[in-house]
Amino acid sequence: MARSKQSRVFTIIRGLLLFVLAMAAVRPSQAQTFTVLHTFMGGADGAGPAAGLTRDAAGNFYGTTIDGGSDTCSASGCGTVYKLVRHGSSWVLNTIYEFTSTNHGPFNPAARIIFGPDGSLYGTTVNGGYCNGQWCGAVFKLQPPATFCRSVMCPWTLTLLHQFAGGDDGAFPYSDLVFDPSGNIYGTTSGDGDSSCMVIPGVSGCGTVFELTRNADGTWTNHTLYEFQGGSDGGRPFAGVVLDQTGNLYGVTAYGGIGPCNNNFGCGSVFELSPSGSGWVEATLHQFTGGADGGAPFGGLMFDHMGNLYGAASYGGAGLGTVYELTPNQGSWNFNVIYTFTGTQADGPESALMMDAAGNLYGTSVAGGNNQGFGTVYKLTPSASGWSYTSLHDFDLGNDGGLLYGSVALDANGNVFGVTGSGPYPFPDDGVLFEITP
Amino acid sequence: MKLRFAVFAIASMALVAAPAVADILYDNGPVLNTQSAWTINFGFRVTDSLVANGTVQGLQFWALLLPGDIVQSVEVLIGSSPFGNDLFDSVVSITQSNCFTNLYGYNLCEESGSFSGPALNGSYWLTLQNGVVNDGDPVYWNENSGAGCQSPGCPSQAQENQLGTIPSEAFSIIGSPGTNTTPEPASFVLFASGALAIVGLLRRKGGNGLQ
Repeated sequence: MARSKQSRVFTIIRGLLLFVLAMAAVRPSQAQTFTVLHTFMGGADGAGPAAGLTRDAAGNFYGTTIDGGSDTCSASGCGTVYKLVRHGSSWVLNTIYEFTSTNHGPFNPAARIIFGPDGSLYGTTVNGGYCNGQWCGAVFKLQPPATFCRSVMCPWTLTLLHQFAGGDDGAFPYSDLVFDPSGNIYGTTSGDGDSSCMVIPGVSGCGTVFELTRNADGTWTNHTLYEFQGGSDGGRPFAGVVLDQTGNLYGVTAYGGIGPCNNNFGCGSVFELSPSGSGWVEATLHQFTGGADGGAPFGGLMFDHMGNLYGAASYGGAGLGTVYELTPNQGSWNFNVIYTFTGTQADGPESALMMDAAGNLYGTSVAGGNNQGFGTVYKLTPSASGWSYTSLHDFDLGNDGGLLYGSVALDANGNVFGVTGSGPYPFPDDGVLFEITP
Repeated sequence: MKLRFAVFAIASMALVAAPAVADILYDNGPVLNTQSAWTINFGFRVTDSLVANGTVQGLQFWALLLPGDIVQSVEVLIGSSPFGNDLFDSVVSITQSNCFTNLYGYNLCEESGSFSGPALNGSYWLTLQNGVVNDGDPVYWNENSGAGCQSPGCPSQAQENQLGTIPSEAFSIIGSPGTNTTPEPASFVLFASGALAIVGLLRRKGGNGLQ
C-alpha cells in the first residue's frame, strides 16, 4: 500500500517534470529582457527617431530624431541629435543639437549619424538648404565642445558641409554617410539628379550617389558620381553606400526597374559604382522583381568579414519581405535569398542589418510580429541547414513603442539597442529608445 | 485655572518675542523638473542675488546629478557683489535628500548645508562653486527662473562666470530672522491670543475684586 502510494507520487512528479520540459520546448524564444531606456516626449528630447544608433568607444550611443526639438519648422519640429550616456547601470539622454529653420536649416535628419576620422559626428538632413523654392537637404558635421560644459544642456557645434541645390546636385538625402581612407564622404540623395528621370510621376529625378571632398580652405565640394535612370539601375536610393577595400561603392535603390513594388513604380536594385579613370562606372548587381527575391530595399547593405554583402528587402518573398546575400564569384556576384519572412514574423523590414561576431544577423521591421503587428527586432542564425529566425521582441505600440525604421546597434556583451519610430500610443507617440538583453 | 491661563498667555507672547531658531530668510522658489541646470564645479561658478534680514545658518539648493551621484560639499560665497566673498567663503558639507528622476534620466536632489554665516540686512549675492561629487562627476545647479519664489526681492538675478546673465536657480537661505523682521500672520494670531488671554485674566481678576 505504502509502495503504491510512493509510486503514485513518483508518477505525479515525473508527469510534472515532463510537463515543464514540454512547456519549455514549445515556449516562444522571447526569454530576452526588454527595457525602455527613454520615451521621447516630442520636446527638446526630439520625436520620431527614424534611424539607427551609433556607438562610441566608451559605450555611449548617438542618434537622430526627425521631428521634435524646440524649433517648430513644420508643426512637428526640426529634429535633434541625441547622446545616450551610460552611467553605472543607468542611462541619461542628452540632446546635443536641436535643428532650427533659421537661415534655411538644415533640419529633419532621417539618417544614422557616424563618427568621422576627426571625432566629429557627420550626418544628413532631408530638409533645409534652400533650393528652387523648396528645401533640398544638407550634409552637416557636429563637433563636441572643446572643454567641459557649463550647463547640463551641452550643445555641439554644427558646421554645414553642403546644401544640396537640386538638379544634378541631388536633393533630399535619407542616407547615412561613409568615409573613405582619404577622408572623402559618400552618400546618396533620393531625389533629383537627372531631372528627366521620373520613376514616380511628378517627382523630379531618380536620385544620385555623391562624394564630398574637402578643400584646402576647409570647405567641401560635392561631386555627383552617378545619376540614376530609373531603369535596370533602379532609382530613388534611401540608404547609404558601403565601401570595399578597393574603393568600390555598393548600395540599393528602392524604386525603379521592374516589378509591382511601390504601387508598380519598380522594385529597385543592388548597384556597384567603380572608379574608372576620371569617372565612375555603374553596374547593376541585382534587379529586384518583387517575387521570391524580394523588392523595395529601403535598408542599406553591410559586408561580412568574408566580403559578402547582406541586406533586407521590404517587399516580396511570401509578402512580408526577404533577407538576401550577395557573394562575390570570380568578378561577378551571386544573389541568394537567405530568409523569407512568413506568418507572424517580421513584415516590411526597412532597416540595414547588423552582424555579431558569431555571424548572426539582426534587423528590425516596421510591421509584423506576434504582438498586434507593430514591428519586430529579429535575429537570423546561420547553420548548415540554412538560417533560422528568432524574434527578440515583438512590439505592441504600448510602452514598448512600435514601427521600427532604424537598424539596431550591438554592444560587446551582445545587448541590442534600438529605437522605435512611434509609441507609446496614444501619448506621446514619439518613439522609444530600448535595450534587449539576451 | 488662573495659573494655566497666565502660563498660556506668557508663553504665547514669549514665542512671538523670541527669534525663531531657523527660518527661511530668502526663497527663490522650488525645483523645476527640467534639463536646465548650470555646472558649479570644474571652474564654473554661478551667483544669484538675494534679499535677506537675519543671520545665515545654512542653505538649501536643488542639484541635477548623474544617476547615483551624491554631492559631498560645495564652496559657498556670500558677498555684496556678484561672485563676491566679502561676507562669507567656506566649503560646506552637504546632505542630500528627496531625489527623483527627470525624463532624461538625471536625478534631481535637494542639497542642504548648515554653517555659521554672516548677519545680513539688505541685498547680497550667493555664489556656489567647486562642488564635489562622490565619483568626480559634474554638479549642476537647477535653474528655475525664480518660479514660485516667495520672498521680498525675488526672483533672483543670476550670472554664470563666463557666460554672464542667466536665469536664476532653485535655492533658499536658512537662518534666524533679524529684529525688524515683519511678523508672519500666524505670529500675529499667536500674539493676539496671548494678549487677549492676559486682558481676560486681568478683567477676571478685577471682577473678583469687586465681589
